Amino acid sequence: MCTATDNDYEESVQCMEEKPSHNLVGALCKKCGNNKAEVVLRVKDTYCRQCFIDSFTHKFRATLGKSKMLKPNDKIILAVSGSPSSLAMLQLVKDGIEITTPKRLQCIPCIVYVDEGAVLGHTYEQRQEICISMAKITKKYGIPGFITSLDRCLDISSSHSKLCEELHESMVWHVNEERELRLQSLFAQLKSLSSKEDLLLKLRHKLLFSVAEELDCSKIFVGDCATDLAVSIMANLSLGRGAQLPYDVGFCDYRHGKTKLLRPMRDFMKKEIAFYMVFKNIGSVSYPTLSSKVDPFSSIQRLTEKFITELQKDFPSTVSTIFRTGDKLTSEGTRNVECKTCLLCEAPLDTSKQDSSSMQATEFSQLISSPMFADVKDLLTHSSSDLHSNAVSSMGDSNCCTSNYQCTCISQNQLQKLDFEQIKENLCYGCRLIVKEMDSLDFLPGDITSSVKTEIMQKQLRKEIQDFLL
Amino acid sequence: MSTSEGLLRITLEFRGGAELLFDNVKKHNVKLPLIDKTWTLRNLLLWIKENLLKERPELFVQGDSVRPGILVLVNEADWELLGGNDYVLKEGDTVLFISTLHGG
Repeated sequence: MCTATDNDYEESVQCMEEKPSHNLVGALCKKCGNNKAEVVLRVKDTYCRQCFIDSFTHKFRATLGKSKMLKPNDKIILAVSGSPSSLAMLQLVKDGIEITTPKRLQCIPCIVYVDEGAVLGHTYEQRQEICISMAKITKKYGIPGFITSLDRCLDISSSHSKLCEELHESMVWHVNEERELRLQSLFAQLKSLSSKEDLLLKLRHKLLFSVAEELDCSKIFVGDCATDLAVSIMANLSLGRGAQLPYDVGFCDYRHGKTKLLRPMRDFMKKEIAFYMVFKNIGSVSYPTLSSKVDPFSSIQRLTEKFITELQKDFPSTVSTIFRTGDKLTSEGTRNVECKTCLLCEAPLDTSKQDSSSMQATEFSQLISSPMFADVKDLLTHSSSDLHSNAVSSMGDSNCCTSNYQCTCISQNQLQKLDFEQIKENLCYGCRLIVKEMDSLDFLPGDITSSVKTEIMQKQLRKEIQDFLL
Repeated sequence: MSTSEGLLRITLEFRGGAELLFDNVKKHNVKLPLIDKTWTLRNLLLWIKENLLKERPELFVQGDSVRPGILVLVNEADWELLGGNDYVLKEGDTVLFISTLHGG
Protein backbone atom coordinates (compact mmCIF):
# COMPACT_ATOMS: atom_id res chain seq x y z
CA MET A 1 0.00 0.00 0.00
CA CYS A 2 1.49 3.28 -0.98
CA THR A 3 0.81 6.19 1.29
CA ALA A 4 3.30 8.58 -0.16
CA THR A 5 1.73 11.77 -1.44
CA ASP A 6 3.19 14.45 -3.59
CA ASN A 7 3.79 16.44 -0.47
CA ASP A 8 5.89 13.71 1.11
CA TYR A 9 8.00 13.63 -1.97
CA GLU A 10 8.85 17.24 -1.87
CA GLU A 11 9.84 17.27 1.74
CA SER A 12 11.48 14.10 2.90
CA VAL A 13 12.32 11.14 0.63
CA GLN A 14 14.15 12.11 -2.45
CA CYS A 15 17.62 10.66 -2.42
CA MET A 16 19.93 8.48 -0.42
CA GLU A 17 21.70 10.28 2.33
CA GLU A 18 24.95 11.70 1.17
CA LYS A 19 28.21 11.07 2.91
CA PRO A 20 28.37 13.35 5.96
CA SER A 21 31.47 15.44 6.07
CA HIS A 22 33.67 15.13 9.11
CA ASN A 23 36.49 17.33 10.10
CA LEU A 24 39.19 14.83 10.87
CA VAL A 25 42.21 17.09 10.71
CA GLY A 26 44.56 16.20 13.53
CA ALA A 27 42.21 13.54 14.97
CA LEU A 28 43.43 11.03 17.53
CA CYS A 29 43.07 7.25 17.30
CA LYS A 30 39.56 6.25 18.33
CA LYS A 31 40.75 3.01 19.84
CA CYS A 32 43.61 3.97 22.11
CA GLY A 33 42.85 7.67 22.28
CA ASN A 34 46.54 8.53 22.67
CA ASN A 35 48.24 8.47 19.33
CA LYS A 36 47.77 10.57 16.29
CA ALA A 37 45.50 8.83 13.80
CA GLU A 38 47.00 7.78 10.48
CA VAL A 39 44.13 6.12 8.68
CA VAL A 40 40.38 6.66 8.39
CA LEU A 41 38.06 3.72 7.86
CA ARG A 42 34.28 3.73 7.40
CA VAL A 43 34.20 7.52 6.95
CA LYS A 44 34.91 8.52 10.53
CA ASP A 45 36.76 5.75 12.38
CA THR A 46 40.29 6.92 12.92
CA TYR A 47 43.11 4.57 13.81
CA CYS A 48 46.74 4.94 14.72
CA ARG A 49 49.26 2.63 13.09
CA GLN A 50 49.47 0.05 15.87
CA CYS A 51 45.73 -0.16 16.58
CA PHE A 52 45.05 -0.53 12.86
CA ILE A 53 47.50 -3.40 12.46
CA ASP A 54 46.11 -5.11 15.58
CA SER A 55 42.53 -4.91 14.42
CA PHE A 56 43.52 -5.99 10.91
CA THR A 57 45.26 -9.10 12.24
CA HIS A 58 42.37 -9.82 14.56
CA LYS A 59 39.87 -9.62 11.72
CA PHE A 60 41.85 -12.14 9.67
CA ARG A 61 41.97 -14.61 12.55
CA ALA A 62 38.26 -14.09 13.22
CA THR A 63 37.34 -14.80 9.60
CA LEU A 64 39.36 -18.02 9.60
CA GLY A 65 38.31 -19.03 13.11
CA LYS A 66 34.60 -18.45 12.56
CA SER A 67 34.61 -20.64 9.49
CA LYS A 68 35.99 -23.62 11.45
CA MET A 69 37.41 -24.87 8.15
CA LEU A 70 41.05 -25.14 9.12
CA LYS A 71 42.02 -28.41 10.77
CA PRO A 72 45.36 -28.79 12.57
CA ASN A 73 48.20 -29.60 10.19
CA ASP A 74 46.18 -28.95 7.09
CA LYS A 75 48.42 -28.44 4.09
CA ILE A 76 47.40 -25.26 2.36
CA ILE A 77 48.36 -23.46 -0.82
CA LEU A 78 48.65 -19.70 -0.66
CA ALA A 79 47.89 -18.47 -4.14
CA VAL A 80 50.20 -15.47 -4.36
CA SER A 81 50.10 -13.30 -7.46
CA GLY A 82 52.22 -10.51 -6.04
CA SER A 83 49.19 -8.26 -5.57
CA PRO A 84 48.88 -6.33 -2.29
CA SER A 85 46.01 -8.53 -1.18
CA SER A 86 47.85 -11.81 -1.72
CA LEU A 87 51.03 -10.55 -0.05
CA ALA A 88 49.07 -9.24 2.94
CA MET A 89 47.53 -12.69 3.22
CA LEU A 90 51.00 -14.25 3.14
CA GLN A 91 52.19 -11.92 5.91
CA LEU A 92 49.13 -12.70 8.05
CA VAL A 93 49.55 -16.45 7.65
CA LYS A 94 53.25 -16.18 8.44
CA ASP A 95 52.50 -14.13 11.56
CA GLY A 96 49.78 -16.61 12.45
CA ILE A 97 51.97 -19.69 12.38
CA GLU A 98 54.84 -18.01 14.20
CA ILE A 99 53.15 -16.81 17.36
CA THR A 100 53.52 -19.03 20.38
CA THR A 101 50.18 -18.49 22.06
CA PRO A 102 47.41 -21.10 21.70
CA LYS A 103 45.92 -18.91 18.98
CA ARG A 104 48.65 -20.12 16.63
CA LEU A 105 47.46 -21.03 13.14
CA GLN A 106 48.09 -24.72 12.78
CA CYS A 107 48.67 -25.28 9.15
CA ILE A 108 51.50 -26.06 6.76
CA PRO A 109 51.50 -23.42 4.02
CA CYS A 110 53.24 -23.30 0.68
CA ILE A 111 53.20 -20.53 -1.88
CA VAL A 112 52.08 -21.08 -5.45
CA TYR A 113 52.59 -18.44 -8.09
CA VAL A 114 50.86 -18.84 -11.44
CA ASP A 115 52.79 -17.31 -14.33
CA GLU A 116 50.23 -15.81 -16.68
CA GLY A 117 52.75 -13.84 -18.71
CA ALA A 118 51.82 -15.53 -21.97
CA VAL A 119 48.28 -14.21 -21.76
CA LEU A 120 49.12 -10.87 -20.18
CA GLY A 121 51.62 -10.12 -22.94
CA HIS A 122 54.77 -9.93 -20.82
CA THR A 123 58.20 -10.28 -22.36
CA TYR A 124 60.37 -13.20 -21.35
CA GLU A 125 62.67 -10.86 -19.39
CA GLN A 126 59.69 -9.44 -17.50
CA ARG A 127 58.51 -12.91 -16.58
CA GLN A 128 61.94 -13.99 -15.44
CA GLU A 129 62.16 -10.86 -13.30
CA ILE A 130 58.76 -11.47 -11.68
CA CYS A 131 59.74 -15.07 -11.11
CA ILE A 132 62.90 -13.99 -9.25
CA SER A 133 60.93 -11.47 -7.18
CA MET A 134 58.56 -14.25 -6.16
CA ALA A 135 61.52 -16.46 -5.26
CA LYS A 136 62.90 -13.69 -3.06
CA ILE A 137 59.54 -13.38 -1.32
CA THR A 138 59.35 -17.09 -0.57
CA LYS A 139 62.89 -16.97 0.79
CA LYS A 140 62.11 -13.95 2.96
CA TYR A 141 59.12 -15.68 4.50
CA GLY A 142 60.78 -19.08 4.76
CA ILE A 143 57.78 -20.80 3.21
CA PRO A 144 58.35 -23.23 0.33
CA GLY A 145 57.33 -21.67 -2.97
CA PHE A 146 56.30 -23.15 -6.29
CA ILE A 147 55.77 -21.71 -9.71
CA THR A 148 53.48 -22.97 -12.40
CA SER A 149 52.37 -21.46 -15.67
CA LEU A 150 48.87 -21.06 -17.02
CA ASP A 151 49.57 -23.01 -20.20
CA ARG A 152 49.95 -26.17 -18.13
CA CYS A 153 46.22 -26.22 -17.55
CA LEU A 154 45.84 -27.21 -21.20
CA ASP A 155 47.31 -30.67 -20.68
CA ILE A 156 46.46 -31.49 -17.11
CA SER A 157 45.39 -35.08 -17.52
CA SER A 158 47.71 -36.11 -20.33
CA SER A 159 50.99 -34.68 -19.12
CA HIS A 160 53.13 -36.83 -16.92
CA SER A 161 55.47 -34.01 -16.11
CA LYS A 162 55.00 -32.07 -12.93
CA LEU A 163 52.66 -29.12 -12.91
CA CYS A 164 54.82 -26.92 -10.75
CA GLU A 165 58.45 -26.34 -9.94
CA GLU A 166 60.12 -25.13 -6.80
CA LEU A 167 61.04 -21.44 -6.76
CA HIS A 168 64.60 -20.46 -6.05
CA GLU A 169 66.50 -17.28 -6.63
CA SER A 170 68.91 -18.55 -9.23
CA MET A 171 66.29 -20.29 -11.30
CA VAL A 172 65.86 -19.81 -15.01
CA TRP A 173 62.24 -19.97 -15.98
CA HIS A 174 61.54 -22.20 -18.95
CA VAL A 175 58.47 -21.81 -21.04
CA ASN A 176 56.92 -24.46 -23.21
CA GLU A 177 56.51 -22.55 -26.44
CA GLU A 178 54.23 -24.99 -28.19
CA ARG A 179 51.72 -25.03 -25.34
CA GLU A 180 52.00 -21.32 -24.82
CA LEU A 181 51.13 -20.71 -28.44
CA ARG A 182 48.03 -22.82 -27.97
CA LEU A 183 47.09 -20.80 -24.91
CA GLN A 184 47.58 -17.55 -26.77
CA SER A 185 45.50 -18.82 -29.68
CA LEU A 186 42.77 -19.76 -27.24
CA PHE A 187 42.66 -16.24 -25.87
CA ALA A 188 43.13 -14.58 -29.25
CA GLN A 189 39.88 -16.13 -30.42
CA LEU A 190 37.88 -14.37 -27.75
CA LYS A 191 36.48 -11.13 -29.01
CA SER A 192 35.60 -9.43 -25.76
CA LEU A 193 37.79 -8.53 -22.83
CA SER A 194 34.98 -9.65 -20.51
CA SER A 195 35.33 -13.22 -21.76
CA LYS A 196 39.11 -13.08 -21.63
CA GLU A 197 39.10 -12.02 -18.00
CA ASP A 198 36.47 -14.60 -17.16
CA LEU A 199 38.33 -17.42 -18.93
CA LEU A 200 41.62 -16.41 -17.30
CA LEU A 201 40.03 -16.70 -13.87
CA LYS A 202 38.45 -20.07 -14.63
CA LEU A 203 41.67 -21.52 -16.05
CA ARG A 204 43.69 -20.18 -13.12
CA HIS A 205 41.36 -21.87 -10.65
CA LYS A 206 41.37 -25.08 -12.67
CA LEU A 207 45.15 -25.12 -12.58
CA LEU A 208 45.32 -24.28 -8.87
CA PHE A 209 43.08 -27.21 -8.01
CA SER A 210 45.29 -29.58 -10.02
CA VAL A 211 48.41 -28.17 -8.40
CA ALA A 212 46.78 -28.66 -4.99
CA GLU A 213 46.29 -32.30 -5.87
CA GLU A 214 49.89 -32.66 -6.95
CA LEU A 215 51.20 -31.02 -3.79
CA ASP A 216 48.73 -32.97 -1.68
CA CYS A 217 47.12 -29.84 -0.23
CA SER A 218 43.51 -29.79 0.90
CA LYS A 219 42.94 -26.04 0.92
CA ILE A 220 43.76 -23.15 -1.36
CA PHE A 221 43.82 -19.62 0.03
CA VAL A 222 43.16 -16.84 -2.45
CA GLY A 223 43.43 -13.14 -1.76
CA ASP A 224 39.99 -11.94 -2.94
CA CYS A 225 38.96 -9.03 -0.73
CA ALA A 226 35.54 -7.47 -0.06
CA THR A 227 35.92 -4.85 -2.77
CA ASP A 228 36.89 -7.51 -5.34
CA LEU A 229 33.99 -9.70 -4.30
CA ALA A 230 31.43 -6.89 -4.47
CA VAL A 231 32.58 -6.25 -8.03
CA SER A 232 32.48 -9.99 -8.78
CA ILE A 233 28.93 -10.30 -7.47
CA MET A 234 27.61 -7.62 -9.78
CA ALA A 235 29.81 -8.58 -12.73
CA ASN A 236 29.07 -12.30 -12.47
CA LEU A 237 25.35 -11.62 -12.52
CA SER A 238 25.87 -9.73 -15.76
CA LEU A 239 28.07 -12.50 -17.16
CA GLY A 240 25.36 -15.10 -16.67
CA ARG A 241 26.97 -16.70 -13.67
CA GLY A 242 24.28 -15.89 -11.14
CA ALA A 243 23.67 -19.54 -10.34
CA GLN A 244 27.27 -19.99 -9.27
CA LEU A 245 27.53 -16.96 -7.00
CA PRO A 246 27.79 -18.96 -3.76
CA TYR A 247 30.88 -20.67 -5.18
CA ASP A 248 32.42 -17.66 -6.81
CA VAL A 249 32.14 -15.21 -3.94
CA GLY A 250 31.48 -17.23 -0.77
CA PHE A 251 34.09 -17.89 1.89
CA CYS A 252 34.48 -21.47 0.81
CA ASP A 253 34.33 -22.73 -2.75
CA TYR A 254 33.53 -26.41 -2.30
CA ARG A 255 32.68 -27.28 -5.89
CA HIS A 256 35.67 -29.61 -6.15
CA GLY A 257 34.73 -31.73 -3.20
CA LYS A 258 37.97 -32.73 -1.55
CA THR A 259 40.01 -29.62 -2.24
CA LYS A 260 38.48 -26.38 -1.06
CA LEU A 261 39.22 -22.86 -2.11
CA LEU A 262 38.97 -20.37 0.76
CA ARG A 263 38.85 -16.58 0.74
CA PRO A 264 40.25 -15.50 4.10
CA MET A 265 40.74 -11.88 2.96
CA ARG A 266 37.08 -11.39 2.17
CA ASP A 267 36.35 -9.07 5.08
CA PHE A 268 38.93 -6.47 4.10
CA MET A 269 38.42 -3.47 1.92
CA LYS A 270 41.07 -2.58 -0.65
CA LYS A 271 41.87 0.52 1.36
CA GLU A 272 42.61 -1.46 4.51
CA ILE A 273 44.94 -3.76 2.60
CA ALA A 274 46.77 -0.84 0.99
CA PHE A 275 47.40 0.78 4.38
CA TYR A 276 48.46 -2.52 5.93
CA MET A 277 51.06 -2.88 3.20
CA VAL A 278 52.35 0.66 3.80
CA PHE A 279 52.45 0.33 7.60
CA LYS A 280 54.13 -3.06 7.45
CA ASN A 281 56.45 -1.83 4.71
CA ILE A 282 55.70 -4.66 2.32
CA GLY A 283 56.25 -3.90 -1.34
CA SER A 284 53.99 -5.58 -3.83
CA VAL A 285 55.09 -7.07 -7.15
CA SER A 286 53.11 -5.22 -9.76
CA TYR A 287 52.94 -5.93 -13.44
CA PRO A 288 50.55 -5.03 -16.23
CA THR A 289 47.44 -7.20 -16.44
CA LEU A 290 44.73 -7.62 -19.06
CA SER A 291 42.97 -4.55 -17.76
CA SER A 292 45.95 -2.23 -17.34
CA LYS A 293 45.55 1.15 -18.96
CA VAL A 294 42.34 0.13 -20.69
CA ASP A 295 39.19 2.12 -20.92
CA PRO A 296 36.80 1.44 -18.00
CA PHE A 297 34.16 0.57 -20.59
CA SER A 298 36.19 -2.21 -22.20
CA SER A 299 34.83 -5.07 -20.13
CA ILE A 300 31.87 -5.87 -17.92
CA GLN A 301 34.19 -6.45 -14.98
CA ARG A 302 35.99 -3.10 -15.35
CA LEU A 303 32.78 -1.18 -15.88
CA THR A 304 31.30 -2.76 -12.75
CA GLU A 305 34.44 -1.86 -10.83
CA LYS A 306 34.18 1.73 -12.01
CA PHE A 307 30.52 1.87 -11.06
CA ILE A 308 31.09 0.47 -7.59
CA THR A 309 34.20 2.50 -6.70
CA GLU A 310 32.55 5.69 -7.86
CA LEU A 311 29.42 4.94 -5.86
CA GLN A 312 31.52 3.94 -2.88
CA LYS A 313 33.15 7.35 -2.88
CA ASP A 314 29.90 9.13 -2.07
CA PHE A 315 28.08 6.28 -0.35
CA PRO A 316 30.64 4.45 1.76
CA SER A 317 28.40 1.51 2.59
CA THR A 318 28.05 0.43 -1.07
CA VAL A 319 30.62 -2.36 -1.00
CA SER A 320 29.49 -3.85 2.28
CA THR A 321 25.83 -3.74 1.24
CA ILE A 322 26.51 -5.60 -2.01
CA PHE A 323 28.88 -7.98 -0.29
CA ARG A 324 26.49 -8.88 2.55
CA THR A 325 23.57 -9.27 0.18
CA GLY A 326 25.58 -11.51 -2.13
CA ASP A 327 26.59 -13.59 0.86
CA LYS A 328 22.98 -14.51 1.56
CA LEU A 329 22.25 -15.80 -1.93
CA THR A 330 22.03 -19.50 -2.51
CA SER A 331 21.04 -21.28 -5.67
CA GLU A 332 19.17 -24.39 -6.60
CA GLY A 333 22.32 -26.03 -7.88
CA THR A 334 24.23 -25.72 -4.64
CA ARG A 335 21.89 -28.02 -2.85
CA ASN A 336 21.77 -30.71 -5.46
CA VAL A 337 24.83 -32.91 -5.05
CA GLU A 338 24.12 -35.30 -7.91
CA CYS A 339 24.00 -32.53 -10.51
CA LYS A 340 26.28 -32.73 -13.55
CA THR A 341 29.09 -30.19 -13.49
CA CYS A 342 30.48 -27.82 -16.08
CA LEU A 343 33.67 -29.08 -17.67
CA LEU A 344 35.35 -25.71 -17.63
CA CYS A 345 34.46 -24.15 -14.29
CA GLU A 346 33.23 -27.31 -12.56
CA ALA A 347 30.18 -25.63 -11.10
CA PRO A 348 26.89 -27.56 -11.22
CA LEU A 349 25.22 -27.10 -14.58
CA ASP A 350 22.59 -24.39 -14.53
CA THR A 351 21.26 -25.19 -17.96
CA SER A 352 18.44 -27.63 -17.32
CA LYS A 353 15.63 -26.29 -19.41
CA GLN A 354 12.33 -25.69 -17.78
CA ASP A 355 9.33 -24.39 -19.62
CA SER A 356 9.30 -20.62 -19.96
CA SER A 357 12.71 -20.19 -18.36
CA SER A 358 14.88 -17.30 -19.46
CA MET A 359 17.39 -19.85 -20.72
CA GLN A 360 14.77 -21.26 -23.05
CA ALA A 361 13.79 -17.80 -24.24
CA THR A 362 17.41 -16.90 -24.97
CA GLU A 363 17.97 -20.08 -26.93
CA PHE A 364 14.81 -19.56 -28.90
CA SER A 365 15.76 -16.07 -29.87
CA GLN A 366 19.21 -17.30 -30.89
CA LEU A 367 17.66 -20.06 -32.95
CA ILE A 368 15.32 -17.85 -34.90
CA SER A 369 18.02 -15.33 -35.60
CA SER A 370 20.58 -17.85 -36.84
CA PRO A 371 21.33 -18.06 -40.59
CA MET A 372 19.69 -21.47 -40.79
CA PHE A 373 16.43 -19.74 -40.31
CA ALA A 374 16.98 -17.28 -43.10
CA ASP A 375 13.89 -18.53 -44.92
CA VAL A 376 11.82 -18.00 -41.86
CA LYS A 377 13.25 -14.53 -41.57
CA ASP A 378 11.84 -13.59 -44.95
CA LEU A 379 8.46 -14.64 -43.82
CA LEU A 380 8.56 -12.43 -40.79
CA THR A 381 6.21 -9.55 -41.03
CA HIS A 382 7.36 -6.01 -41.10
CA SER A 383 6.40 -5.27 -37.53
CA SER A 384 8.40 -8.07 -35.99
CA SER A 385 11.52 -7.45 -38.06
CA ASP A 386 12.62 -4.75 -35.65
CA LEU A 387 12.50 -7.17 -32.81
CA HIS A 388 14.34 -9.68 -34.87
CA SER A 389 17.18 -7.36 -35.82
CA ASN A 390 17.65 -6.59 -32.16
CA ALA A 391 18.06 -10.24 -31.46
CA VAL A 392 20.65 -10.56 -34.18
CA SER A 393 22.68 -7.63 -33.02
CA SER A 394 22.68 -8.85 -29.43
CA MET A 395 24.09 -12.13 -30.59
CA GLY A 396 27.13 -10.49 -32.04
CA ASP A 397 29.42 -12.80 -33.92
CA SER A 398 27.86 -16.07 -32.96
CA ASN A 399 26.47 -16.50 -36.42
CA CYS A 400 29.75 -17.71 -37.77
CA CYS A 401 29.95 -20.32 -35.03
CA THR A 402 26.66 -21.74 -36.10
CA SER A 403 27.66 -21.94 -39.73
CA ASN A 404 30.97 -23.48 -38.76
CA TYR A 405 29.20 -26.05 -36.73
CA GLN A 406 27.10 -27.04 -39.68
CA CYS A 407 30.01 -27.84 -41.89
CA THR A 408 32.30 -29.53 -39.40
CA CYS A 409 29.81 -31.91 -37.90
CA ILE A 410 28.54 -33.31 -41.12
CA SER A 411 31.80 -33.78 -42.93
CA GLN A 412 34.05 -35.01 -40.17
CA ASN A 413 34.22 -38.01 -37.99
CA GLN A 414 32.42 -37.14 -34.81
CA LEU A 415 35.06 -38.46 -32.49
CA GLN A 416 37.90 -36.79 -34.28
CA LYS A 417 36.39 -33.39 -34.26
CA LEU A 418 33.94 -32.13 -31.72
CA ASP A 419 31.34 -29.61 -32.63
CA PHE A 420 30.05 -26.73 -30.60
CA GLU A 421 26.79 -28.44 -29.69
CA GLN A 422 28.56 -31.39 -28.12
CA ILE A 423 30.82 -29.17 -26.03
CA LYS A 424 27.99 -26.84 -25.13
CA GLU A 425 26.00 -29.65 -23.58
CA ASN A 426 28.67 -29.97 -20.94
CA LEU A 427 29.13 -26.32 -20.08
CA CYS A 428 27.27 -23.99 -17.77
CA TYR A 429 25.58 -20.90 -19.18
CA GLY A 430 28.48 -18.57 -18.33
CA CYS A 431 31.09 -20.84 -19.92
CA ARG A 432 28.92 -21.31 -23.02
CA LEU A 433 29.09 -17.58 -23.55
CA ILE A 434 32.89 -17.78 -23.54
CA VAL A 435 33.02 -20.73 -25.92
CA LYS A 436 30.50 -19.06 -28.21
CA GLU A 437 33.10 -16.44 -29.05
CA MET A 438 35.56 -19.05 -30.27
CA ASP A 439 35.96 -19.95 -33.92
CA SER A 440 37.64 -23.24 -33.23
CA LEU A 441 37.59 -25.69 -30.37
CA ASP A 442 41.10 -26.98 -31.05
CA PHE A 443 42.72 -24.95 -28.33
CA LEU A 444 40.46 -25.89 -25.43
CA PRO A 445 42.13 -27.67 -22.50
CA GLY A 446 42.74 -31.29 -23.41
CA ASP A 447 40.83 -32.75 -20.49
CA ILE A 448 37.64 -31.00 -21.58
CA THR A 449 37.69 -32.36 -25.11
CA SER A 450 38.71 -35.82 -23.98
CA SER A 451 35.93 -36.12 -21.44
CA VAL A 452 33.37 -34.96 -23.98
CA LYS A 453 34.66 -37.62 -26.38
CA THR A 454 34.48 -40.30 -23.73
CA GLU A 455 30.94 -39.33 -22.97
CA ILE A 456 29.91 -39.46 -26.60
CA MET A 457 31.58 -42.82 -27.00
CA GLN A 458 29.75 -44.20 -23.99
CA LYS A 459 26.47 -42.90 -25.31
CA GLN A 460 27.09 -44.54 -28.67
CA LEU A 461 28.05 -47.78 -27.07
CA ARG A 462 24.94 -47.74 -24.96
CA LYS A 463 22.85 -47.14 -28.04
CA GLU A 464 24.47 -50.01 -29.89
CA ILE A 465 23.97 -52.56 -27.16
CA GLN A 466 20.56 -51.30 -26.20
CA ASP A 467 18.74 -53.95 -28.21
CA PHE A 468 20.68 -56.73 -26.58
CA LEU A 469 19.94 -55.65 -23.06
CA LEU A 470 17.27 -57.46 -21.16
CA MET B 1 63.30 31.87 -9.21
CA SER B 2 65.67 29.04 -9.89
CA THR B 3 67.39 29.44 -6.54
CA SER B 4 66.74 26.68 -4.06
CA GLU B 5 64.73 29.04 -1.83
CA GLY B 6 62.16 29.46 -4.52
CA LEU B 7 61.51 25.75 -4.78
CA LEU B 8 59.44 23.25 -2.85
CA ARG B 9 61.04 19.83 -2.81
CA ILE B 10 58.73 16.88 -2.39
CA THR B 11 58.74 13.19 -3.26
CA LEU B 12 55.97 11.56 -5.25
CA GLU B 13 55.46 7.82 -5.24
CA PHE B 14 53.11 5.70 -7.33
CA ARG B 15 52.13 2.14 -6.50
CA GLY B 16 49.57 -0.53 -7.18
CA GLY B 17 49.73 -0.07 -10.95
CA ALA B 18 49.46 3.74 -10.91
CA GLU B 19 53.14 3.85 -11.91
CA LEU B 20 52.20 2.40 -15.29
CA LEU B 21 50.85 5.82 -16.24
CA PHE B 22 54.20 7.41 -15.33
CA ASP B 23 56.56 5.41 -17.55
CA ASN B 24 56.73 2.75 -14.87
CA VAL B 25 58.75 5.03 -12.59
CA LYS B 26 57.64 4.55 -9.02
CA LYS B 27 59.47 7.36 -7.32
CA HIS B 28 59.81 10.94 -8.51
CA ASN B 29 61.72 13.66 -6.70
CA VAL B 30 60.19 16.90 -7.85
CA LYS B 31 60.82 20.57 -7.28
CA LEU B 32 57.81 22.81 -7.46
CA PRO B 33 58.32 26.50 -8.20
CA LEU B 34 57.08 28.67 -5.35
CA ILE B 35 55.40 31.48 -7.21
CA ASP B 36 52.55 33.34 -5.63
CA LYS B 37 50.34 30.36 -4.95
CA THR B 38 50.44 27.84 -2.14
CA TRP B 39 50.89 24.24 -3.14
CA THR B 40 47.79 22.40 -2.03
CA LEU B 41 47.21 18.81 -3.07
CA ARG B 42 44.64 20.14 -5.52
CA ASN B 43 47.26 22.25 -7.25
CA LEU B 44 49.72 19.40 -7.11
CA LEU B 45 47.29 17.12 -8.96
CA LEU B 46 46.91 19.68 -11.72
CA TRP B 47 50.67 20.01 -11.90
CA ILE B 48 51.10 16.22 -12.11
CA LYS B 49 48.49 16.06 -14.84
CA GLU B 50 50.33 18.63 -16.89
CA ASN B 51 53.94 17.77 -16.19
CA LEU B 52 54.31 14.17 -15.11
CA LEU B 53 51.47 12.10 -16.54
CA LYS B 54 52.55 10.31 -19.68
CA GLU B 55 49.24 8.95 -20.92
CA ARG B 56 45.54 8.61 -20.27
CA PRO B 57 45.05 11.36 -17.66
CA GLU B 58 41.44 10.27 -17.15
CA LEU B 59 42.73 7.09 -15.50
CA PHE B 60 44.40 9.15 -12.79
CA VAL B 61 42.62 12.45 -12.34
CA GLN B 62 38.90 13.03 -12.34
CA GLY B 63 37.63 16.58 -11.92
CA ASP B 64 39.94 18.29 -9.46
CA SER B 65 40.63 15.13 -7.44
CA VAL B 66 42.10 11.69 -8.02
CA ARG B 67 40.01 9.01 -9.70
CA PRO B 68 37.93 7.07 -7.15
CA GLY B 69 39.87 3.96 -6.17
CA ILE B 70 43.22 5.73 -5.94
CA LEU B 71 44.36 6.35 -2.38
CA VAL B 72 46.46 9.34 -1.39
CA LEU B 73 48.85 9.23 1.55
CA VAL B 74 50.96 12.14 2.73
CA ASN B 75 53.92 11.02 4.81
CA GLU B 76 52.23 7.63 5.20
CA ALA B 77 49.04 9.10 6.63
CA ASP B 78 45.59 9.12 5.06
CA TRP B 79 44.96 12.42 3.31
CA GLU B 80 41.46 12.51 4.76
CA LEU B 81 43.14 13.26 8.10
CA LEU B 82 44.94 16.21 6.60
CA GLY B 83 42.03 17.96 4.94
CA GLY B 84 42.12 16.12 1.62
CA ASN B 85 42.55 18.31 -1.42
CA ASP B 86 43.13 21.43 0.71
CA TYR B 87 46.23 20.15 2.49
CA VAL B 88 49.14 22.54 2.01
CA LEU B 89 52.33 20.74 1.06
CA LYS B 90 55.46 21.30 3.09
CA GLU B 91 59.12 20.95 2.20
CA GLY B 92 60.19 17.31 2.20
CA ASP B 93 56.69 15.80 2.15
CA THR B 94 56.22 12.41 0.55
CA VAL B 95 52.98 11.99 -1.34
CA LEU B 96 52.08 8.40 -2.14
CA PHE B 97 49.41 7.44 -4.66
CA ILE B 98 48.19 3.84 -4.50
CA SER B 99 45.82 2.51 -7.11
CA THR B 100 43.48 -0.12 -5.73
CA LEU B 101 41.87 -0.64 -9.11
CA HIS B 102 42.34 -3.85 -11.03
CA GLY B 103 45.29 -3.48 -13.34
CA GLY B 104 46.15 -0.05 -11.96
